[in-house]
Amino acid sequence: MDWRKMAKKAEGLHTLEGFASLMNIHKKTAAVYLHLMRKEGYVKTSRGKRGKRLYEISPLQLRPVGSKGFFEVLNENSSIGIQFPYVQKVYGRDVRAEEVIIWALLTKDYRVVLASLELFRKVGDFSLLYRLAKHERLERHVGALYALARKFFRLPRIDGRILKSMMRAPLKKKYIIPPMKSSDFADIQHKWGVFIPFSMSDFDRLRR
Amino acid sequence: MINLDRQLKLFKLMAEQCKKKVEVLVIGGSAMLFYNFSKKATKDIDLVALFENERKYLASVLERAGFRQTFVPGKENEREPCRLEMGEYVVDIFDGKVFRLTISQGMLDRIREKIEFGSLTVSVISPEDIIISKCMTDRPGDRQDAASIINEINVNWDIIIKECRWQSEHGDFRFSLYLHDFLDDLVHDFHIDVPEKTLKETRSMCREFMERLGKK
Repeated sequence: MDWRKMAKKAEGLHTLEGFASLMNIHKKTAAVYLHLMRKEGYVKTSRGKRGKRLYEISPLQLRPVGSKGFFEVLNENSSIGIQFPYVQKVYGRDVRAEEVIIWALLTKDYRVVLASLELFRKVGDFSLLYRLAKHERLERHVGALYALARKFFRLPRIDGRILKSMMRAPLKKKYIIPPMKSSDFADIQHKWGVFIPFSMSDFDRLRR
Repeated sequence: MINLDRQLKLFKLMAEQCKKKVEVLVIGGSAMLFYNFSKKATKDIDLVALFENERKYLASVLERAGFRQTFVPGKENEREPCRLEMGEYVVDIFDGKVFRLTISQGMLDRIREKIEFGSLTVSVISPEDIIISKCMTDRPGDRQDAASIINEINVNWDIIIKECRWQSEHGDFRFSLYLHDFLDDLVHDFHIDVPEKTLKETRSMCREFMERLGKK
């Protein structure tokens, strides 16, 4: 059986019934075909409303190269799902949560930075986070986001010396995401000297 | 012949020599290796640096890694690539222009995958753009590759037509002719099923081009 041909014919998002009807086969046969196509890499399974199984069929697949990139690590650790226009991979090493936080800040994207707050839970090496932040001159931004994330999640405590170094770092850009600033979290904004782009209601989404 | 593993090893070697962040596009047969097409190996690796200074930098990086520069394009043939060789590795580096094709913003937006090798980021173009990059040459191998892509996946022909229009307006004004001949060869020599709507559009673009030539 040419599974690629079948995947080409049935490309798209289907339920089991939809696929069976398209291929004009019995549901049981459809389940077997989907299982075999998934083994070949042409089918990805997900769940829709009320737990309905959905099958994303595509004859075009990227060969597995490298390990998880920033997008994947972010989506795995955040309750906010982010869609990215391309697949990102890293070759030869594993990406750490510390790197993803800095990368998220550099994107200056509202949803990406909000999603990265939950990554502070996975930070194992605050000195690495500080070094990466220092390289990009984002020490105060990272410190402010850490303080913000601490209000809503249980996070590992940052070393006092690293915290002091972050607070003493020079600040060139006050905006985390220009030109967004909110009136909430005035204490953190005042302490760290940066404008927090999020409001209290944004965290309802994270906590859900 | 170079397969995907060897290609990745080369990129890793380049990244080790890169002292600054560089992004490079991989096109042609090298890009096909990143997908699950039946093509498993390529004769040479085609890379596109977005700027001339980045191309020169990548050439110097490869020279440091042991490659020998066998061709340097001059002013008369600036669209030709810089060629570097080492053993069976042959690397062609272009700078934003690949023969008669100009890398457009649309192609950059359609990038499917980016792989980070330290300081070197390799971006893989979409299958439609691989077909576009193959349509300007007369090599039967390129037609064979394009035919296999069209046979194996559902190609978005609207993207190809849209890109062809862009190339005709901002790059080589004869691009519609190249695409028309290319699709014609695919239909007649390789018996590929190209949608009638696409063939009509390419014919009308060719007619527009001939009319414009006639007016001049």
